[in-house]
Amino acid sequence: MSDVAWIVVAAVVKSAIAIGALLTIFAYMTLVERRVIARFQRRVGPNRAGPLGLLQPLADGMKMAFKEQIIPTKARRLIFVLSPAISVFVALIAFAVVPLGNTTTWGTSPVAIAWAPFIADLNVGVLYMLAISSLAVYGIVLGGWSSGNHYSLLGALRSAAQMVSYEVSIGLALAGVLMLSGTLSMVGIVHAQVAQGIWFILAQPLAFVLYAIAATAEVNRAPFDLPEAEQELVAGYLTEFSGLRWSLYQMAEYINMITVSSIAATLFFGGWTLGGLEGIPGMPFVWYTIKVAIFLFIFIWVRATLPRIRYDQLMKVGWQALLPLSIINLVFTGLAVALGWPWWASGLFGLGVLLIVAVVLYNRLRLRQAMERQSGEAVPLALPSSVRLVRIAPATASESGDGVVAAPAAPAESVTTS
Amino acid sequence: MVAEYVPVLILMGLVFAFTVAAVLVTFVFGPKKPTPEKLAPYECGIQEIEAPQQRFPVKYLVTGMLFIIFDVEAASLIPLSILMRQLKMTGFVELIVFAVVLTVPFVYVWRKGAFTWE
Repeated sequence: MSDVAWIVVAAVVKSAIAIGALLTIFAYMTLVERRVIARFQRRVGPNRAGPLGLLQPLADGMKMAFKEQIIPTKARRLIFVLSPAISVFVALIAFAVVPLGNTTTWGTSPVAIAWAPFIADLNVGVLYMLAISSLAVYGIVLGGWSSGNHYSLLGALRSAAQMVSYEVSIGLALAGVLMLSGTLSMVGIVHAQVAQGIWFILAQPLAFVLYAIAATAEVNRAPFDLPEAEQELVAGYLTEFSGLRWSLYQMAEYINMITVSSIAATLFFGGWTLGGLEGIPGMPFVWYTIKVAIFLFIFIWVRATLPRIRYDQLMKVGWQALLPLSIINLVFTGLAVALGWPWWASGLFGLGVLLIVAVVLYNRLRLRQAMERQSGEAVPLALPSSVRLVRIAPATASESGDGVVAAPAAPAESVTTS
Repeated sequence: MVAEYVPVLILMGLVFAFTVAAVLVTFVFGPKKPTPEKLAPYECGIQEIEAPQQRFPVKYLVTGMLFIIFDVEAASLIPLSILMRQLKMTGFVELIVFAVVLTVPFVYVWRKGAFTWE
């Protein structure tokens, strides 16, 4: 066969493997998540279907497929049907540029490159990833908007505002890594880390923390899962979706988790490298998988640990904390790179900034606790005016009239925005 | 150059086939016993008072516009970042100029309260 035919065959085989692998990982991530969360909560979790519950994803899939697929009368049918597919499509194609195995020892002939452990080595790899992942918002917004339901619409709007807010920080945080690597290609970034002898987490700790927070918000995971905050919005943009359409959205969410974990592993943790151990044949893929698995576990861990934050806090963190910090990181990294300083200069700077932020937050907490101890009751929270707390006064305290106090005093006409 | 994108297009093709199949499958399986109540928008069991898809808080629109401004700036910073090693101090001065241009409107919209949600 000619070279071209081989390249096409290789691309088809690799794409099919990638799709199959991602779908399998998605299926088992749902099981792993339920089991792990159960353990965090001192439960056992699903363990009936097959040994250790290993057939549970299959059972769930069957159940989803044979559920009634409801399309509400108020829904705009075409968009309603298509939007889960948009979500999944975008989630799956983002994976094309991730290098999964050792690419330095690979041959340079076109056929050898065709079988290299990545689907495509684009010279704009990171940009491709950012571009594709920003399309993810379409699936959610169109799905929520076309449902013809208040909860869905509000969930979709929230999701859109949240995803676009954190995307800016992701772009700026990753720009720091790009300064060090000097290339946008994902393969090239791993090679740059091999050449410089470090993982970029050491030179860019601040950028990594910013990326980790922003990426969690970007994939709508706890504690940033406001689009599906069940106490306020039923299920957000998922409210009207049932059966397989619902599971397509779940699929997109989990695959996006895998993708952002892959970006973190590749850009900050050297991808398939592990301090020289990548020389063993077959092992680079294992190192890469372990790194991604650790990130996926952290996603579950965070979900089990942290409560969901409020929407105004979410916007505050995104715009007023992450964005300025990422600009500071970018400017200092630019200075270090322009002056040819060694990697630990920006590393120390990043750690210093993180330390300052930690000290400031800790002091605030201590101050608050001291005030509470002094006054003997909870310090009133700085709540937005649309949030109203209702306090039922004890029966003896009759001086306050009706006993219902709106705190803090809010003008009655303020509209609850979300 | 363009040849690099062929595998991506092939992946897109396969994924497209998968998603089309997934959408079609949703119409095949499953019972179909619609009732007016079942097909009504989910509203916690009460009658819908007004249709959605009317007005929504302008804050979301403001956030969207801010995103366009800042994300375009972030996107313009990426080529500069790539070339930082070659450009040395010239690049750094440009970065500073860029950061100032980014910071001034940022401070302005912050003071205007665009990031304060209620």
